[in-house]
Amino acid sequence: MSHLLKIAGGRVIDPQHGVDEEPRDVWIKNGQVIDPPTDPDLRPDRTIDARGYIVMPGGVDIHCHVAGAKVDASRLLRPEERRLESGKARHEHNHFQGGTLGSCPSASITGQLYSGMGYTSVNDAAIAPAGAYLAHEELADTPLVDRSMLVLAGNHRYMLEVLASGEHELIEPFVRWLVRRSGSLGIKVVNPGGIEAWKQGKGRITKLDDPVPEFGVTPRMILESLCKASQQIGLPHAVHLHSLNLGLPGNTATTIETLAALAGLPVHLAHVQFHSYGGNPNDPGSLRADVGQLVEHLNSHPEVSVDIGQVLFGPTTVMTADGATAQYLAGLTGKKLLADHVELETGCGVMPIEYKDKNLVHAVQWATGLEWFLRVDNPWQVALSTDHPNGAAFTAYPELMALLADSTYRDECLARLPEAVRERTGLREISRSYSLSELAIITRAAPAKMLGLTHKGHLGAGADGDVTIYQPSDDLRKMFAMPRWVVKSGVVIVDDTEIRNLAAGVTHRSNVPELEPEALEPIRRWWKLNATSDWSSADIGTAMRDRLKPVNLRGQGGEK
Amino acid sequence: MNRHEPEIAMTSAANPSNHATSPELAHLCLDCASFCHDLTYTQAGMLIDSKGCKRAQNRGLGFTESSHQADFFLTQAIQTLQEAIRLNRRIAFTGLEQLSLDSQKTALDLAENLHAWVLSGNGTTSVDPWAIAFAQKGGWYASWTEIRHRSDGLILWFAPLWSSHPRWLERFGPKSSLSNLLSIQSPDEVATDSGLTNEQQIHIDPAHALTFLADLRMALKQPDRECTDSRIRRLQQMFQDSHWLTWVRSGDPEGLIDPLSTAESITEMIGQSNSPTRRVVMADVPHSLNPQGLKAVLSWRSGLNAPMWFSPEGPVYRPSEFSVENAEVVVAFGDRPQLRSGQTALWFSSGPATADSPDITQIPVSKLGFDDAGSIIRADGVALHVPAMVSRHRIKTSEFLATICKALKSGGASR
Ligand SMILES: [Zn+2]
Repeated sequence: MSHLLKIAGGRVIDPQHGVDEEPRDVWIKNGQVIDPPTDPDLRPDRTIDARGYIVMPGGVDIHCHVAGAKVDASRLLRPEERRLESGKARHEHNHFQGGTLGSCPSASITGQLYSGMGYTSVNDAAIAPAGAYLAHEELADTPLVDRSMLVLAGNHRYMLEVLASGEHELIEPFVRWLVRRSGSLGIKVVNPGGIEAWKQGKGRITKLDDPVPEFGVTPRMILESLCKASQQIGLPHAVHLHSLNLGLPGNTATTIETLAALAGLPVHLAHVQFHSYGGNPNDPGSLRADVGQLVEHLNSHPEVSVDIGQVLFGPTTVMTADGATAQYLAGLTGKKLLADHVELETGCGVMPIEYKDKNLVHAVQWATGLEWFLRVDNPWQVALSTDHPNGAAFTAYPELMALLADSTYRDECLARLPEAVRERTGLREISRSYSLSELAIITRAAPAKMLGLTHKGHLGAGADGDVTIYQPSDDLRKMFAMPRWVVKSGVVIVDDTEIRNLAAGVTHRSNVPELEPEALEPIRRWWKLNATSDWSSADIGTAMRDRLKPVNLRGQGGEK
Repeated sequence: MNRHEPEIAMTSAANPSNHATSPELAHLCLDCASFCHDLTYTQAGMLIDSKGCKRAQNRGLGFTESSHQADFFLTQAIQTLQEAIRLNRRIAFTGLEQLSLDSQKTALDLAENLHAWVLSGNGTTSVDPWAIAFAQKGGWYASWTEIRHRSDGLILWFAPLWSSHPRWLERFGPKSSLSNLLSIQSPDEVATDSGLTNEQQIHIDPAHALTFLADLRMALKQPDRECTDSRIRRLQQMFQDSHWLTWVRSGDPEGLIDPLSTAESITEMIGQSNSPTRRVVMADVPHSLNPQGLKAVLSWRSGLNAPMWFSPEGPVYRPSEFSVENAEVVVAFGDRPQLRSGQTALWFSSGPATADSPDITQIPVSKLGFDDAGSIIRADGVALHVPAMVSRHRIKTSEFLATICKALKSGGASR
């Protein structure tokens, strides 16, 4: 049965098509945006009178952690987040399905909170290959949003062995296998080689040319080969990179060096705020912002994109594949830590954290993130993120959007922070405010484009019928937190600021073809020799893969 | 339902006694949580090669062919639950650890629909001390392939794997050698088939485990202090000599006093033993099939651990209250529920019919890995896909639960 929805007369912001607050109608038929019908007598099944409202494509989160073993464990690690709120989730938010809140809400609540603030797509940025099946089951239980995941690749022992033996030609089939077997959109590289060294119990890797013990392979070699392979395959999203020395003072030098090593290759720097510090590496208290050189690099390298990983004040949870960093941070703060070593593939660290506005280091991190947003020339290279839940839970996005769009509000917040923040960051000198159109770019149009989700982030014909309709208000936080209507695949899921149904979304995967038997053979041989489970567990299985929606590789031809 | 193509190892050529008509199949063995995938069976599901595992040899595949059709049991189950809803009975689900992930998901759908309690195990012990220790202190873990590759020392903490999980050490123990292994065990533990020397066995009365741990931790903190207990000295040496040590636990021993303090003490000791250049991890080798799957699904469905309640206001964790003892209607999977008078139960069982009890309705369901397929999560987080060995037309647990759920909803009987 065909269903026709008309969103009439709203102030449409569709940056991909150069539309900026123009009064227009948006038509959605059977879940997809269509050109306005030429037949004047055609009557839609429903019309939303959006006159006076702001109309944007649905929000797209390029980097968050919402599923899989680490998220599941984090909820159980942190019952203190639950104790005060049990039973509240359903009542306070008029939720259809119960659950719990906190920095890592239960799956159904995650879907409801995202869609309730106008986000209709989320990408979990770090899933271990061995945990992919479980993560897909969890994503399938996360309603109201479309989902995708990135699979962790930078510390896989097969890859390290292959690089050590100089068989570089085996890396490309390895990446294809990894993405296909896990049903992912692309690959995430975390602390390349450094997690393996940490898992060996052989300390940290801090330089791009430090060899990984046992292998002699360097982070530089890993990065180059994975980025090349990803480009060769045409994965829809560039390599999603969390480089060395996350969170350490002075790490801007490492980040610059990393970018130089990848000159010309497309790469996405994740939570770049955490990689943009000056100061003395041996003195955590010396942290200062050092974003200038990095911003310059970005401004002159269109093949590079970033998401920020903004820190916002309050309690949250650190969650990373970078066990070395988590161990270091737990040592500094004395917090309880979950550390895990995963199947010769990756690691894991989860711990509580509270960012305090009276804490100079935290305040510097807050200002560093904002400085990043505000100093980049081209917003199409930037995606809004808090690295949920690492810098803050995603529920803080409206606060972040307000900080970017309202320089007065931002200055007021800055004034409340320790005096030294103004010396240690350049935020004070910046008066820029994001326009609504620029916000639309960094929260939907750019992240969709970076992820290769060509049917998202815009309102042209053929786009997914995901639309957010905001009521303009001087209170920007409220405006962005409570859209009046949210449409997902043509279904009005938020109606008059309330969630009205639990429509299911889809999970996307890259359309990587099955490997030829001879390409698969070396991996299979390695598996039989090294893994402790049957070869069938190396794959999410055909039944699961069939439930996922394939996304074309770059150069694979038009959508649908 | 997930139906994965089974990985079939056609090894008939290697076995001359095998006929072409009955090729051997390698199937995942679900007899213990080691999940060996290299045992071979006939196509009818009879074991051919157990790779020396006694448990697998003694496995029972007995089950009941019921004279009733699925519809008969469906009607009974729906009636029981509708009655429970009408009378506002306290309903408890037990034994979900024995189900595949799919079945766990549908069981939790039903539990949420019924506003039931979800208990751990058979629901008699309400709290998992290790889960509380984890929430208090965190934990250092490693998946079993990591342990096999990296570990150079292994301590068994009241974990007689040689009888409970006969091939675990062979499959996941340190690849290099098993010589650097110590087993802490009850004085009455007979370890004849373990392959362990007397030197490798340390006997501790579980009643004294906590004080022993305190002494051990003192010795680890102050290595230069004279220690008279040779058992402590051996463990101290093990910690000193190992670069990558694994501490294996497998349920708590009988007679343990204060399991919670014990779990906390071990968790904290392991955490403190880690440094950037030394690794100590814990491995939990469970006795049930899919406890990790249940933990995960329950976490994303409710944010909580069992025992919990899907209350009408949202999920609630209240271990002092939620136990099988306090329930009125029990929905049990796996083990036969032990009822007190006045309780009734629906028991989903793949085993043979047991003595009739008017209070227990035994619903004969298919057996995972025998005539049912599904996925499970190994205790270390690795997803395993379990194919069916034979096809039969018995009730599939997840389909059955989904049908009940639908019937209750459409009948307006959910609460
Ligand atoms: Zn992240």
